[in-house]
Amino acid sequence: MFINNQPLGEINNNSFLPTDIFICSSSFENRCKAIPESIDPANIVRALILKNVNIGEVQENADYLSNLFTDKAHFINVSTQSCIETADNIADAIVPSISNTSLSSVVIDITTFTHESLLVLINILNKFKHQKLSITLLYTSAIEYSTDKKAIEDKWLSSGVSGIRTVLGYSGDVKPLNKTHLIMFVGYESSRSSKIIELIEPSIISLGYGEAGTSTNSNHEEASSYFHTVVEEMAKKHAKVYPFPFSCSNPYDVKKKIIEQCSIDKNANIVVAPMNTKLSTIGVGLAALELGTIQLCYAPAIQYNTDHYSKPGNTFSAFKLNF
Amino acid sequence: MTKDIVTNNPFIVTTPEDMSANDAFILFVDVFSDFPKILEEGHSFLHGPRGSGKSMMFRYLKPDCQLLRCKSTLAELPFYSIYIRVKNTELHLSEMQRLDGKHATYILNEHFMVIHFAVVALGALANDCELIDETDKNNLEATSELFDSFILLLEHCGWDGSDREKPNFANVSDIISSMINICESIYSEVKRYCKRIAFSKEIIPYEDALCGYLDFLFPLLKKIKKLPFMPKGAIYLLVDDADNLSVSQTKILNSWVFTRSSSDVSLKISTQQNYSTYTTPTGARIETPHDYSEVNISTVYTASNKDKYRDRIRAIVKKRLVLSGIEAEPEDFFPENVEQETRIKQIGEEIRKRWEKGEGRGYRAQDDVDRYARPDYIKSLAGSSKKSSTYSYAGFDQLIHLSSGIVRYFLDSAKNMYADVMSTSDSKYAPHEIPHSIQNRIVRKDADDFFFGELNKKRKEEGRSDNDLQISQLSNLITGLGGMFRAILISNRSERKVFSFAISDEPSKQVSEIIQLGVNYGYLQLSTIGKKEKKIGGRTRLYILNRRLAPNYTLDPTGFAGYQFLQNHILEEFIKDPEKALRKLINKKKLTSEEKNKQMSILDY
Repeated sequence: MFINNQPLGEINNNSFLPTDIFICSSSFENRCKAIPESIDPANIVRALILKNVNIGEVQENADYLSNLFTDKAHFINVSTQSCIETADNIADAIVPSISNTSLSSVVIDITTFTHESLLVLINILNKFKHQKLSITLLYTSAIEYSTDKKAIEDKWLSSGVSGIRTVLGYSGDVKPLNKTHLIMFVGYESSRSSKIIELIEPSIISLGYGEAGTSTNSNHEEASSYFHTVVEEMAKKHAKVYPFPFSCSNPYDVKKKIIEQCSIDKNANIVVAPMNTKLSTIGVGLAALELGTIQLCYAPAIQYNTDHYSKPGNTFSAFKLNF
Repeated sequence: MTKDIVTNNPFIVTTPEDMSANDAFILFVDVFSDFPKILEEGHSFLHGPRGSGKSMMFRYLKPDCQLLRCKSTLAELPFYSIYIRVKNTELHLSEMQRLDGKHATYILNEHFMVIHFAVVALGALANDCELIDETDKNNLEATSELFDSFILLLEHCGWDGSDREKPNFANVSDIISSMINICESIYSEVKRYCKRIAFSKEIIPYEDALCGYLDFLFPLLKKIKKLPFMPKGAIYLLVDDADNLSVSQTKILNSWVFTRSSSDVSLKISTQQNYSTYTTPTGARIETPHDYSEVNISTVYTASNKDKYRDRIRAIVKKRLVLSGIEAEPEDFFPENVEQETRIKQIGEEIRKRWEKGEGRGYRAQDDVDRYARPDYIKSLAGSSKKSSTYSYAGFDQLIHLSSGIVRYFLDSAKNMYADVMSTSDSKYAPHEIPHSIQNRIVRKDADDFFFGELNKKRKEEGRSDNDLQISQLSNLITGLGGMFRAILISNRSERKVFSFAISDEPSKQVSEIIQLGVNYGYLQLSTIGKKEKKIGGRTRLYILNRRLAPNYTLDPTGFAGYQFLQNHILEEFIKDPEKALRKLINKKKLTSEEKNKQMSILDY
């Protein structure tokens, strides 16, 4: 199953609903409400809402999402400062339910998860891959990002990097004597991407650019191309750069592309930094779980454009998660 | 890279790690007379912001460069250095946080670090095999004995892989490679264990070998040191960017420093001034000078050794120009804005004449010229024509001051200037100078990027995360300080070149945290001065605004600069609302009072 850009108003007509568990993430972005408010609560047995405890701006939308699902709603507290706390709380909330073999379906709105918590969730779900469980991932794109800025070069989603860390469960098999091959999927966050390159100091950089026609919204293609060029120019000063196209909307294409890029230097340590859509981040997670040797890293921003991050679209994409 | 320098941009900065020995040897400007402890046996810390030249110093200490310097054999070198870069995501794994607060964290992290360091050390040795006669009978026998000792050490640490038959080694490299392979397999075990504990709340027992510094790495390095082809001096472990270690790992590294075994193995640890702790796992504190010596590049180059820094930059620039086939002297390659400098000289002459008439303030006429000519020029731009933003930040000396003691800042700006000239030139040949207008434009843009790029985006404070709020407060503090220094510059005070401050009373927790954040991000640099209350004596911290920010406030970055004692409440007001605080300060004329003037003194840059 692969649904692309279906109107949100039609979401309840799909076979992935009703579902036993619906998981979504509250955010400072109003986009976090788009899918949950389109789903008929009667189609959901239990709603789990991720809530970031160290970002105050998510509270209002977290309450809104909780009210949508009333007594079916349960919060999962996550933290951008502690991946252990995030992992334990996600596992505590979902593992007991999923371990119940009578459970048949889980639907996850991945739109406003952080890349890190999404990868942690995928890793936990991977442990149940032999179970007959249907996992559907939903995503709604933005019509526009950085809505306060019109000129592409002025647009920004986040600024600065407060540090860089490996994603829990994806430490890979990095060897001290091997050189580093960084695979990046660049989106709007060119300055953050550039900072990651500076911090990792790789010898080889594979720089993914969104293939024409695969963007989650055609409005983003020009910006995506612009920011890719900015990062590529910067990256060339640090290392040998291999640009490669990928689909921003198809995680399985991303997974395939990562595996292909790994062959550029089979002796290099592979570090992947997902910085594009959450759909592409799913592909990154799937590749890392399959190969086991890839290390994933995450660089929390110093600040986010919380007031003008995005304007939600009115369509959604859906696909089955197959490990 | 030498070829790149000749054909491309002479100011390109390459990661020292990736530099060939020849390039590093050619480009390196020997600064060890400023940092003698780094060359001597003994544990040392080398602190400095990113780009201040720490990695380049370490690169130069590697045996391949030292052989070019000493023109000797490997065995004749005074020491043997092993470069160990602590990369961001290699040792500091998120999974290890599962062990935080438990004793196991120190045991497993030490094992992980020890094996990591051992692999790198053996890798360095394998690379250096090309410097020796690998098939020489003595070398082969000694290395074969090293292999036996290595296996024995591992067995004592619980390794059970020694039952395989010892291979018949043909040369030294084969033996070292075999040792590397064994260490890498032990290293992979740790990674596998990390995967097992990633999502487990329960502690899973670690059942493989556990190696410590004193029972494995240190004796192994001592054995390596005794190989016939090795230098007789100590082995230096050059641990670069140690701030990237976790807190537990930092404590473990400190416990190695605590061993005071530096005559055999000296730890040379570099940090970007963000080293998390100086305690060991047992809670003991490592102290200087008992356990280690310490050098802070920022302090050396921004406090009282301005000439040393100028000489260092000049030598670096000269080398790079020569390698590019450019014959110009650095001062000619980065010319001043002649019109501006002529006007400043005229103002200087007017000041000199006033001094000679008995209207001066300093002991000598030249003191007044140095103190007031440039500030008066900047003031004249602001006063009459409102064109202070047209002040030109050009000229080799001004560029050196703007780089604020950090070599990388100078080179990055110079690289951008050179690229700008080449992009607008039809000539294929290297330029003989960078026009002053381009110098000025680039350093102004660099100042903008340095500050506005990271910090100064408009934000509300309410409801922000703690970290976001602190960034906002730091941005306010810098705006307040920059504005205050600007106000002082165009005032009538006797000392107007002010770039730094000290706190005259007790800083609040908030002020201390925000200032520390400024130091961590490189917006403020740390030094010390005598306390304001001279009867009590002692020294206090001096915070110097990064001179790279000077163009944002049209400050004079050159020459001597005074400092301002500030009370904690003023800093708190800056943090809260810098514009309001500045209005309050200026309206009360606090900055022009004679009493305040007495607090100022000259500070070498």
